[in-house]
Amino acid sequence: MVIGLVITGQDGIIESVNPAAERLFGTVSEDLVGRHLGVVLPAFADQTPGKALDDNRRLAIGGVVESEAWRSGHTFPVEMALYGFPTASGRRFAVSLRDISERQALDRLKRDFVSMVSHELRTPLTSIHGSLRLLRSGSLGPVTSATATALHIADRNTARLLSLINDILDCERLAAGEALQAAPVSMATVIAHAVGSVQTFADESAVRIEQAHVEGTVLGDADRLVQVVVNLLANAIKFSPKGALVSVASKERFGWIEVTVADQGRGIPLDQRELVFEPFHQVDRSDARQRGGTGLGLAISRRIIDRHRGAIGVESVEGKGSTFWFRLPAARAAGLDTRALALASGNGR
Amino acid sequence: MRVLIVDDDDDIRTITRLSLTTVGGLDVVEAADGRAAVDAALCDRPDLILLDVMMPEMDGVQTLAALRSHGPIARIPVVFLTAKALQSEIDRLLSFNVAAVFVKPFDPLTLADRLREVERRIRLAQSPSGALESSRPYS
Repeated sequence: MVIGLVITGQDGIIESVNPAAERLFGTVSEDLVGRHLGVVLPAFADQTPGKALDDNRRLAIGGVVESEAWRSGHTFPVEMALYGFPTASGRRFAVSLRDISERQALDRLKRDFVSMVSHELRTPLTSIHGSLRLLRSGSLGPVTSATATALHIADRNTARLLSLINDILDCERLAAGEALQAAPVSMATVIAHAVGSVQTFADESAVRIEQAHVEGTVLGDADRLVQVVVNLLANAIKFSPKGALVSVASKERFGWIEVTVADQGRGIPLDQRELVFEPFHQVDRSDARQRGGTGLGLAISRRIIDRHRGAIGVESVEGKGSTFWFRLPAARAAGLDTRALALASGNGR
Repeated sequence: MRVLIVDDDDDIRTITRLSLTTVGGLDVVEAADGRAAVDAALCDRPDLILLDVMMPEMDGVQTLAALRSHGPIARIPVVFLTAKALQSEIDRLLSFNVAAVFVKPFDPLTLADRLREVERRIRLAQSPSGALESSRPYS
C-alpha cells in the first residue's frame, strides 16, 4: 500500500511531499511546496497541525483517523496520521495519508450484499417459520405426538438458521460502526436482565445460575452489554454438565468494572483461548451441531466490548471449567462521554 | 378490526392471513401489489394496512404514497413489514411517519396482538399517523 507523506512547519506550510503524495493529490511537488496544508486537506483549512494534535486525542496518541483530501476539484476519503518531531530549525509535522476510496467502496458493496442476502433468506424463512409455528400451536388442527416431534426438529433448525442470519447481520452492524447509546448503566441491572433471559435455558439444561457479588456502573449501551452477558452465560450453560453451577459477578477494581462468568465445564485448551473470539470458531467442530449456536456470539461480544474501549478474555483449566471476563472503565473514572463512545469505530481503525 | 395485507409473496400472504384470522380472530383482506392495495383500501376501508416493503413495480414506500394521495384512505395507519433488519433501514422506514415497522420473520402467534397494540396506541394518542413504534429486529 502506497503511503503519501507531507512535511510541514509549525504554521502548516508544506515543505516537502513524497512521490506517493503527488500521485494522491494528482499534482506535482512544485505546486504544493510553500502552500498551506489546508489546500489539500480540508481538515487543516483553519488550523495548524499542532492544534490538530492538541484537539484530537486519537491523532495525539499516534492513531489514524478517516478524513478527506482534495484531488482535481473533488474530495476523496483518506486515512490519516499526524506526527510532530523536533528538528534543528524547529518543530515539524509529518502527515501520512492513504487513499481508502477502494476500501470504502468494497465496504459498501459488502454491506449491500449482506443486506440483500438477509432479505432473500428472511423471506422464505418467514413462510417456513410461520407455518411451523402455526402447525405446532395446534391452531390449524390436532397434532399427533410423532408429528409434534418432527415439527419441533424443523422449528428448532429454522430458529438456528435465523440466529445465524441475525448474528451475521449483527457483526456487520458493529463492523460498520453503528452508533452505540452511551448512558450510565448499572451492572446489577445488566446482569439481572441477562440472567432473566437465559433462566429458562438454564432450567432446561439443569444448570444453576448464581449471582455472586455484583457492583459497579459503567458508561455504555445497556442493550449491547446485556447481549454480551447473555452470550457469556448461554455459552457457560451450554458447556456445563447437568447439575453444575454457573456463577456471574461484577467487581470494581482500580477504576475498572470487571464482570466474570465462571462455569464448571470441560475448559478450553490453551491454544484455543484466543481463537474462541474469532468468528465461526468452535473448540470442537461438532459443537455447533450438538450444542447449537452460530460461532459468532463471542466474536460479537468482543466487538461490543472493543467499542466500549474495554477488554474481554478467558481463563480456563481443562477439565475444571472456564471463566470468561470483560472489563470496562467505571463510569466515574471513565472520562468517557457520548462523543468518545461514538468515536470508537467498529473496525478498530 | 379489519387488516389489509399487502405482499407480493403468496406464501407470506397466506401465513399472515392464517395468523390474523385463525389465531388472532381478525378480519382480513389481501392485495398482491401496490395498485391492488389502493383499490382494496378504497373498497374495503380497513382499520390498518400491513404493507410489505420490497415488492416489484410499486414498492412499499411508493404504495404508501399512493394510499396517502387518496383522501378517504390517506389516514389509515400503515405498518411496514420488512425483511431488512438493519437499524438504518428501520429508521428510514419510520421516517415515512408510519405507525410501526415489523421485521420478518414475525411470530404468527402474536402478530394479531401486536397489530391490536399498535391500533390501541394510535387511538390513545388520537393521532392516526405518527411513528409510534419500532419493533426490535431481535425481539
